[in-house]
Amino acid sequence: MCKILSSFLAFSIVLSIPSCTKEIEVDFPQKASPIITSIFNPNQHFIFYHSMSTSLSEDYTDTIAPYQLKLFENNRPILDTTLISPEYTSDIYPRIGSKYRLQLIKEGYPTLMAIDSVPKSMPYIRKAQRIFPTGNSDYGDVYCDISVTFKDPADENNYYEIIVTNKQKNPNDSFNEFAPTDIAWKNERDYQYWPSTIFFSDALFNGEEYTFRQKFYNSGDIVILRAVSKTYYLYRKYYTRHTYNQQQQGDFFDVFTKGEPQEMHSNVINGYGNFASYQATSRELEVIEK
Amino acid sequence: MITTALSQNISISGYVIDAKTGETLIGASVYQQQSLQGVATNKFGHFALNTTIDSITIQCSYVGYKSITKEFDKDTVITFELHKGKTLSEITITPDKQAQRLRNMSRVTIPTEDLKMIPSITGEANILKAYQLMPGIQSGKEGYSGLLVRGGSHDQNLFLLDDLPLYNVVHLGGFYSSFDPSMVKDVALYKGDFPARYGGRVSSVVDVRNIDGNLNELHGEFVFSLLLSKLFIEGPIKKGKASYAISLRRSNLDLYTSLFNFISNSPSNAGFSFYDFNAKGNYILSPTDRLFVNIYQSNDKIFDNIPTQKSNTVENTSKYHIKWGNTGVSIRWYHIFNNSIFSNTTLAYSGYKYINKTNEKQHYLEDDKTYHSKSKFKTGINEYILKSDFEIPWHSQTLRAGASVSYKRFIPFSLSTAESINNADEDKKHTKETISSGDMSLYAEYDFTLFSHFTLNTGLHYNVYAVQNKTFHSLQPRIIADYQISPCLNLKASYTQMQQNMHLLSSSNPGLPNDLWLPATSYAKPLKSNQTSLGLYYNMNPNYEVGVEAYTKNLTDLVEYKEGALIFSPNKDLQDNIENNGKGEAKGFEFLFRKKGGRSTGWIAYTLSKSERQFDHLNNGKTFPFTYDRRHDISIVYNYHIRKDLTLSTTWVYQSGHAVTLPQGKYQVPHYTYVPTTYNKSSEIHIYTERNSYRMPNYHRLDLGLTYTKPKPKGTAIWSLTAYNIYNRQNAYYLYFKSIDNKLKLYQQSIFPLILNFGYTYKF
Repeated sequence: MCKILSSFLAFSIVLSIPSCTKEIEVDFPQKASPIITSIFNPNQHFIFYHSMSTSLSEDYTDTIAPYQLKLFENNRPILDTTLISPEYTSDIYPRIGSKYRLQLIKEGYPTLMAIDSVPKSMPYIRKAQRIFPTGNSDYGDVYCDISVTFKDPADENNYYEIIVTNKQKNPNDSFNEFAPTDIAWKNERDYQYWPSTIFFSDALFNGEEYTFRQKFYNSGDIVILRAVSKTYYLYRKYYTRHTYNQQQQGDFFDVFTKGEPQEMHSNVINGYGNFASYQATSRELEVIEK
Repeated sequence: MITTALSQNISISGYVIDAKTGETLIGASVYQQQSLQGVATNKFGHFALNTTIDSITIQCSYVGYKSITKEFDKDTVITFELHKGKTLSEITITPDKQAQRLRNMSRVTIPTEDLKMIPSITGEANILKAYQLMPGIQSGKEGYSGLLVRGGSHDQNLFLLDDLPLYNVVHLGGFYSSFDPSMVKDVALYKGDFPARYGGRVSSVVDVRNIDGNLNELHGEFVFSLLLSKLFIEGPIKKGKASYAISLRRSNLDLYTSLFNFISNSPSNAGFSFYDFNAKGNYILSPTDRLFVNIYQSNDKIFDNIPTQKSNTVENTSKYHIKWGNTGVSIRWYHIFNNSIFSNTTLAYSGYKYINKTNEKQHYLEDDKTYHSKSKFKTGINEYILKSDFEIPWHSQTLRAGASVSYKRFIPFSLSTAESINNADEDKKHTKETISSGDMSLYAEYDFTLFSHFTLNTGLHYNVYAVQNKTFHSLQPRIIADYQISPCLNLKASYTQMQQNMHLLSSSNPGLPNDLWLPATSYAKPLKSNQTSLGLYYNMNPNYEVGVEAYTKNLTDLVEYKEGALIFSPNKDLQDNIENNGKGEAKGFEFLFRKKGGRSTGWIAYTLSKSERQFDHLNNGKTFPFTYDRRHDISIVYNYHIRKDLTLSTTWVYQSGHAVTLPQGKYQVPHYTYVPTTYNKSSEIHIYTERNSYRMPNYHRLDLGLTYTKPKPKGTAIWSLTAYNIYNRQNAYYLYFKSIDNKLKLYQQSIFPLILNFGYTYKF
């Protein structure tokens, strides 16, 4: 009896072993669309990135067909150039309060258009403190409490981004926050997606002086406060959610724990991409040792 | 003209039971030979027949049993004891046609013997999977035992086990049904024509009745298969007066994973297991009073215990456990007033829980410090119910009425964490969200005959539901009509409204369960359905029947996860994750051809259906296919008795692929950093067009089962062999993207190739 069972078990396992994974040939009928992206601020020239979308099952093309780029400031043309490179850095600095309209003209496609303005109001950081150390994580990392006080302009909807970094401004050196403690940040619900910076609207403190309070892993020495346009805020929010839930690896984590797909936000008409703006101020953190 | 009879001369009532076991028989026919008018026994095996004739001859019959005929000339309470013997087909019994028609029109039934023959992946009969082979009823993913009925989702089915509502009726994500086939006496599945006595769900009612236990002899069953072990016993506590039935099943899967871990010298002990326990006690207090006690428990567990692992600087120890299950207890008392009015009173508790626990320790050797962290996430529901049902016979018609109250306590979110260093200064945090709700329902339902060929079941179900200082009222009409065109041809039509006061948020991910039951609130209002169906049924001869049915169903106030919602990070404020006010529309055509008698039995079922959803903030407000919208669904079931002791059963299933959301295109944008960088560091963005616009590959498979029965000196041995997916079709369980050489490719994962299983059962 035992012999029969053992043989049967072995037989069952052998039969069940064959690989059950196979690639599926799928025809994704995605027509190529032009993409234009530019995230601009008054301290930097306009930089434009152009590419083409493709079907999910196809490779990206390396060659870019010629395209015409036009930029208008308050409806006045300030740039008109024809390009064949995906990246273009202009010598134009955006100006606070000006309204910019972008057009991309490409043969065979409808004209792309996008509009945004650099936010007019940039609150002054009245106070920025780092209280250190305020505890240890499970893994022994020290964490600190950071507070940033600023006055939100009244009677308008404002959006902010906060970055805690060091003086070297190494873009890779961001400081992931600890569990959400700031009310405005908590209200956004984006902390679940582990973004590298914090962004929120003034919905909870419109027109008031607000002190942002958040625990951070590790410590930076400078805080950057950005006043961002609504388009930038939506770009930042949807980019975070879209990339977090995107399947790329095909592993257990990818398949079993990813959330619902999130469509990426775009303010480009007749194409995809983002044309979004911000202005920024920074302040060194006053260190208070506990 | 409504043929009610108020002048009653003789009242005959009582039970129909199996003479050997004392088990009550559900659906047995009790009818007058003279007029062919009669009734069927209810789900407690009770009947009551009132007649205006002075002296009558009553015949009592049941499929597979010898009939009994008796004469009566005065009011009598009787128990018909039927002996197994001549096997009758259901059609050869011809009691009151109207009563028989009404009994059958609103329910889908598969004879218990046929249920047990259908091959399943687990080797043992799987009751819910057998019902998935009927028209209008589908499975979700392969292997899943839950039911998707007429475009509804799997939370929209009311599972009743002896009147005890259950929330989780499957094991291991759905591969097993938690109903033990040895315990089950009768299953009635209502998929559209809901009598008024049922309420609380919008798509189906699955009314499961367990056996009461053998009143005369001790019997039992031991089962061992590669995947499961089971012990079942039943017998008298006091002969002829009180009995019990107990079943305990346990998976063997953790034994294999432990063996694998041992052989592979794996430091961790990981695996999964489940068990379920069913017990029922039955005590006959008097000819008119009976008491039942039911206990049900099912538990599943996934675990990973990683013993201490040392490095030069740190020692790590961790344990991860996920447990979920349903516990239920009920006490039922039924009483018969005036030998005819039947009452059933139930007091019940049902609770579902899901717990995810982690326990991690790090001991740093350098400074001899131990960091300890624990977390416990819990979600669940507790329900307390008190209900009474009455059946009042009126000649050949029946008036049913009843009331129920229930109190539910939901725990959508509970999280406890604790952290400590060297077992001191423990930092404890506890967040818990509970919502309580109350329900009260009243119903009245009446079976009656209009003219000689037209029968009706009409009723009203009233429900008042209170939650968070808000009250919802609903009055749900139910009309089920049957017109007998000819003795073999029936036309049936129905209109029913249903309401469901809870929602289930469940990801479509396979494997790990994460069912999150939520009460309906003013934000996520009670879910409602309106269903209309029309059917034509033809009994070709006693062994064959054919039926076609068409239906439309509208659903309102559906909920769905929002775009981008994280399923494994339940947000405390659930409104942030939920889209509300959704609408659904399902319509379909169903065909069933069935052979019920002879050496070979089985059926062919086909469903053509379409099911859609619409939410204001999903898919840009446009209608999109329901995830499990399948255009075609075909099932062929064939059972053949090769010899008296050898049976072959086969099942072939074909389903159109269900709907999934896949990106259609992609593009690159600069990777986000807080300082804009160069283009060569890019992020890929996927372009989604329509929600659920892609179809999974079509699904089909063939299963075979062979059963050999051998009498033994003190019992019977049954050997069973099942082959699941015999031609090894690689059906897609889920799709995933993987980036290879910087190129994103789509893959399908199949998890059920050809699987052989073996089972041995010994019955005594």
